Amino acid sequence: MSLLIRPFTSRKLMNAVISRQMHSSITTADIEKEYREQTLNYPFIGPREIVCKTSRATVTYVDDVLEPCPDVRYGVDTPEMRKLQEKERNEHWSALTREEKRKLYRHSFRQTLAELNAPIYETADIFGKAMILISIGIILCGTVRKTAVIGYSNAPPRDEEMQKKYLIRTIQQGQNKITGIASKWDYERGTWKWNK
Amino acid sequence: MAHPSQLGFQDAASPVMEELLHFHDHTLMIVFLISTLVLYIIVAMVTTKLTNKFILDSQEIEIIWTLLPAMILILIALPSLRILYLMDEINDPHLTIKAMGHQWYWSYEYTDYEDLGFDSYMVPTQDLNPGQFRLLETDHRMVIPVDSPIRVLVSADDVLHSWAVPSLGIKMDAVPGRLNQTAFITSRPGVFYGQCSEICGANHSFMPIVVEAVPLEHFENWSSLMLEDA
Repeated sequence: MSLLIRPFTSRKLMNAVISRQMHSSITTADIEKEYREQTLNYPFIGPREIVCKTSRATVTYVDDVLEPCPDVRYGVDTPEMRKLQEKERNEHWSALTREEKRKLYRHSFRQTLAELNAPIYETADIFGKAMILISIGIILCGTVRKTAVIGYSNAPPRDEEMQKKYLIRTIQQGQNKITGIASKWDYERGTWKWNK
Repeated sequence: MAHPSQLGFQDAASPVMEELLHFHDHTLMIVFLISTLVLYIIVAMVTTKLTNKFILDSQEIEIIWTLLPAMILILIALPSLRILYLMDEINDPHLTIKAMGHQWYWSYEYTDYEDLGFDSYMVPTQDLNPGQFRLLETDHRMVIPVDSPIRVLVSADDVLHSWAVPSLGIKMDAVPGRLNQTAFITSRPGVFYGQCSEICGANHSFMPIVVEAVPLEHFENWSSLMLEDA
């Protein structure tokens, strides 16, 4: 009796059937024949065991944090894995070595939850490339402004005396006298309003 | 004129510019609110660990985020249209001035009563008196009486120019072969600077506009003096 036609058989019955199968030595060819007999899913997934039933129409393996039980096992069904699964079923988990546990996990899943949730630093990657391009642009801009552009040297050099005279004239003309610079000047006393 | 390190608008010298300042405050407040909300949503979306793959739609929130922007846009559009129509009101101006743009100076013509016309060239940097503003001073200013509605007809002689004075809230393109009309009232006396605002050649940055608003007697004295000189 194959697991593939009746995916939700009771566990005890499954164990009994598989134990009976284990005791007769099974080869890879037998396994393949067993899977090939059912034509619904074998062309798409190969000799892999269906474990869960999700809402998808087709049976596929998907690694997703929100769907911890994919439709089908990741690994191909082989006699060695069947032996390991039999061991996992019948004995306590402390009897399995660490390597065997890892093999069983990787037979059912492709990536662990830790691997799925690991950061990939995509933001930092893109940000770094953008910063490199921006700095190239800034360097180009500065070089062109210093060497090729004429006109920035026409401005007179910074002069404290002239700046004072500009300020005096700005206040004399009453520029921005409502909320701006001339509004801070007290015309009656001839000084800034904050000088008491 | 803008003082150094000024970030906002210059103080208004005409009622229309005052309205524009208030409208800008109103719209900027809305823009800040929306930007803050969007920034918060972006940060929340990027830094969350929760996922839901099976959301399809939600009628309530879709109704909200369709109606709310529409209402906000109406809130912005109504004052905007009000100011637009306010700017087009021209109520019996006391004076009509023609501002003609040339390469690279402005010329003003006061032809209501007498034939007064003069050119307004920028004062070069080396000829400035101490304290005069660089690239903004002109040899002849456009003098107008304060508190009087003025109509300005802007045109150009050769290429496109634009007659702009930010304090009065005016910017009008000077198109050769076309007369564009704008009007304003100056609420306070003073000197208001502007610069040509349409690229017109090599010295586009060096053709400023200076409007001087004075009481009526001073304006009459000035125009008599200018007529004698001409």
